[in-house]
Amino acid sequence: MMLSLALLMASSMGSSFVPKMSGTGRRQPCPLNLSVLRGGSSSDAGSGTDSYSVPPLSSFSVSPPIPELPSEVPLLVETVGSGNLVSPTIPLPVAEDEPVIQQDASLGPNTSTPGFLRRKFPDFPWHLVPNWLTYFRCLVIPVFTSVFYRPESHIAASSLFAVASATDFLDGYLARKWDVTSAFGAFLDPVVRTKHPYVPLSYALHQRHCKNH
Amino acid sequence: MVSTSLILLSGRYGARVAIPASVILAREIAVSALREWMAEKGLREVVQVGYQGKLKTALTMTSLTLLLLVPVDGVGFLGKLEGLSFVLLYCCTIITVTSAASYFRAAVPALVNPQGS
Repeated sequence: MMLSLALLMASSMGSSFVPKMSGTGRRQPCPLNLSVLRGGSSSDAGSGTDSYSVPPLSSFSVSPPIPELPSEVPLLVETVGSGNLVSPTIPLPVAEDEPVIQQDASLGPNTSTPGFLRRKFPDFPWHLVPNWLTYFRCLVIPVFTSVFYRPESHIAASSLFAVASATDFLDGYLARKWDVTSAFGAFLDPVVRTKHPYVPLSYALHQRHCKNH
Repeated sequence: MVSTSLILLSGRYGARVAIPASVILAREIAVSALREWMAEKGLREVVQVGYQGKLKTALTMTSLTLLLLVPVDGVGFLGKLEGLSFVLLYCCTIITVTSAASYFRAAVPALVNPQGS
C-alpha cells in the first residue's frame, strides 16, 4: 500500500519523490504481478498442496525496495518553479477533557439581553452576584439578631429582615434570568432561608443567662 | 432568616408567636427531609416548589416584616399593626400546613410502594 502511495505521488507530481532505485536492474517500477498471489502455475512457491501459500519475496516482479517512510508523513506540495511549501506536519487535534471555564463577565447561553446596568458596567462579574446575595443573607443573621435585642430597634430589624427577604427572592430570580444556576446555589438557598435557628437560639439563651445572673 | 426571626419573636411575645412558629419550623424540617428522601430516590421533580410554596414564602415574609415593625411597648401607629400582623401570621401557618400536605400527597406513591429491585 505504501508503494502504491509512492507511485501515485510520483505520477501526479514531479519525479523527485520517487527514491532512487538501487541494487536491481529494473529502471522503472513495475506493477505487481498478481498471478503470483493467485497461486498460479508460474509460481515456484513451496508445496503445491496448499491452496494458498505465501510466495517467496523474490518471486514478486516488483523489485525496487520499499522506501522506509518516516512516522510523520510530511505533506509537501512542491510546485514547479515556485518552491512554495505548505507547513510540514498537521497537528492532530487532541480531545479536550477540561471543562470550559467561565470567563469573567460571561453569563450562561440563555441569558437575557443586557439591561442598563449590564451595558454600563460590562466588566463587572455579574455571574457572581447571585452567590453574593446568598452569602449576604447568610451573614446578616447574626447582625439581625444583635439588632433585634437593642432598644427601639423595631424599624431597623424590620428593614433588615425585608432586605434579606428581597435577596432571598432576588438571587434565585437573577440566577435563572442570567442562566448561571448551579447545584450549590440550589442547595444553599433553602438552607439559609429557614434552617439557621442555631445562632439566635444560642444568643437568646445567652441573654437569658446574663439576665438571671 | 425566617426561622431566626420566628425564634426571636417568640421570645418577645411568648405563646402567641411560639405556637405558629413551632408549626412552621416543624413543617420546614419535614418537607426538607421529604425532599432529601425523594432526591435520593430520583424523584426530585415530584416535590418541587409549586405556587402554594411560593405563596407561603411571600406571606411568611410579609407577616414577619410587619410583626417586626411593631415596637416593643406597642405605642404609636406602628403599634396598631400588631393585630394585622398576627392575623397574617396565622394565615401563613395555615398555608404552610396545606402546602406541606400537597407535597406529601404527591409523594405518597413513592412512600408507600416498596422499592423492589
